[in-house]
Amino acid sequence: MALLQLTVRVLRSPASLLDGDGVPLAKLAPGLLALVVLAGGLFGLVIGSYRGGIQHVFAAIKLPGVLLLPLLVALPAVRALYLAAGMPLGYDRLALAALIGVARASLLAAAMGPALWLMYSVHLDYHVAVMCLCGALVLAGATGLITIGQLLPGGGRLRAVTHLAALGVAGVVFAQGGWLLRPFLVRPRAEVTFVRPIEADVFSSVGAAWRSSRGDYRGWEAQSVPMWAPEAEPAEGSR
Amino acid sequence: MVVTDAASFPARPDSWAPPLTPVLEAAPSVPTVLWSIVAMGLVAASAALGAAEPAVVVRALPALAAPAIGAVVLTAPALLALHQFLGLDAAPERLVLALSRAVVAGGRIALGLVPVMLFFAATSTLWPVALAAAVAIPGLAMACVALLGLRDAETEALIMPPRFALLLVAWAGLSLAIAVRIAVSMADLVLAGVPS
Amino acid sequence: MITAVVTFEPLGYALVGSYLVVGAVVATLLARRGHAPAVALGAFACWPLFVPLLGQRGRAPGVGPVHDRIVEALAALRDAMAEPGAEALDLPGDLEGLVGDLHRADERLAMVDRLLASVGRERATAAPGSSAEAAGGHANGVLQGIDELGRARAATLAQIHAVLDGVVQLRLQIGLRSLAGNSVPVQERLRDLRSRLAAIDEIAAMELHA
Repeated sequence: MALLQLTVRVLRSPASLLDGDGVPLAKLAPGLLALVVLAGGLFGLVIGSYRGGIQHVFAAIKLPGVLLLPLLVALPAVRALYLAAGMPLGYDRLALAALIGVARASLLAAAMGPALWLMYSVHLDYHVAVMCLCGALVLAGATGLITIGQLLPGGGRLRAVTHLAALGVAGVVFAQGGWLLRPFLVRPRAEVTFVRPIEADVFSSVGAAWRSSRGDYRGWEAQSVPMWAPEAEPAEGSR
Repeated sequence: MVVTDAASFPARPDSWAPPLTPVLEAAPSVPTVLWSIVAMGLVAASAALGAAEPAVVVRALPALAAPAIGAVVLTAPALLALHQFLGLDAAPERLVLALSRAVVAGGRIALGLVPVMLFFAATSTLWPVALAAAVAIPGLAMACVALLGLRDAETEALIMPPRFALLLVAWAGLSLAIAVRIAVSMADLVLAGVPS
Repeated sequence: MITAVVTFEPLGYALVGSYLVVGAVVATLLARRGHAPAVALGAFACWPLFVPLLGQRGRAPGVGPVHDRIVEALAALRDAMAEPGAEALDLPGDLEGLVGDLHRADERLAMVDRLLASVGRERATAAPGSSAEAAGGHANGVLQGIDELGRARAATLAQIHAVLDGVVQLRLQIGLRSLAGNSVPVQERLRDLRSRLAAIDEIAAMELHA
């Protein structure tokens, strides 16, 4: 199936991709992966434009990885949760539904790219730029999650709780993956690197951001130096 | 899942009434249950890899399956005894079936969490939190599946008898308390020797 | 307070290495089972998504005798549906179903052709050591089998051509619909075509028992 035709079906009628007997994973998965890489890469390119230069390339390479990481790491746990809730869910069906959802989210994120680029091109404040990025990701991600939910079979019990648990597992992996592959937006004075050294985790960063929003600017490294390895470098705070 | 409606009873040609002995769906095999227990140990060991100390990993493997399994093993006889004492309807086999299915569900979730725990062990310093999650998530899922299965097992009444509801709440509370108690002991055991 | 020393790098390298090794193994297995190179490539990078395919065989190579006509007819139908006058027509699910059914039927014909060719080759190079009587009995059975398969194939081929003729008529109906409005049952016609394709098995069976 041509990539353009697949794009149309992913956006217009994702459920039609799962019509018929069997799950066409072999037929659709390569194309869907290509869509995620292309659309996610395009969105990454836009994010990289905030800092410019080589960061265009870095962000374009890393963003599809962040989008795919929850699928690669959390899918077995998500399936086990649905099975425990009594939902008859095959791994191939879940994998395809998740791929379709992520592809749809990537395409929508890429569609928001031009507007985001326009905002970034007028030298937006760093924090506003982060908020715009988060807003775009939340919009696209919510659409992708709803799509996945609609593509899963019916039946089972405690569906809402199971959806929430699955979302929690995948969301935690997504957050840590994003933290691991940062920076995407780079502060104007920060050094551009492909990835930063592994230091602490996303939750420490969120905690530090929360403290600083309340006027405590010590940062996570100030409190955590005795806990973590001495070679851990201070965070640049960029994302 | 235990079939609970009248359709689960074999039809009798001479009467619309169901037979006295209900049909049970196949129970999980013993190897499946054992694998589920091993899976709970595996997920804990995966999270413990973040400690980078082989001794911690070795201790976590058996120790962290203990809270969930220990709670089920210790409370199941009490549940069965009280269930019969209160004169409730479900056959004891159905209760045991519901509990064994809950263990299998917990094991399956634990096995699914192994990649997530490995990911966090390799990319963060959150291994103590991951250890706690590796015990808590399959345990909570087990509890939910067990409660649903036990409720299904009580097939005869259209409305759940208050006595059974009370029994379920009491059993859930006791199981939780025992699981937490075992988890505290096991945490001491697993973290022994880790610099603090 | 627990000290969590940052010693995860060896573990990280081990996990990444293991991931790549497993990816290479899964990709190799899928390629050997006849899956497309794109599937194998995808599996190398994202093998957890492709693990379910390890239990499935890939598609048979080659296309059937009506592949080109199917592609042409469906391209023309899509063009007709993309015309401005047909924009209110919403048939993506049915059309994709028809496309899949036609290609599957074509693949089945391709498989039959491969079988017939393979049996023909075997007969041409039959072992000369077998006894004449046994060889005669087997030969009659094989000839009868070839004849039956050939008749079933011809019936199936005729049915596919009939459906493709129906696709041409469908294009004309789309044109008619643009003039006469919604009273022209385009969607029903498309579903009729799918039903005719679904009945291919029965038609082939009737041909065998005729």
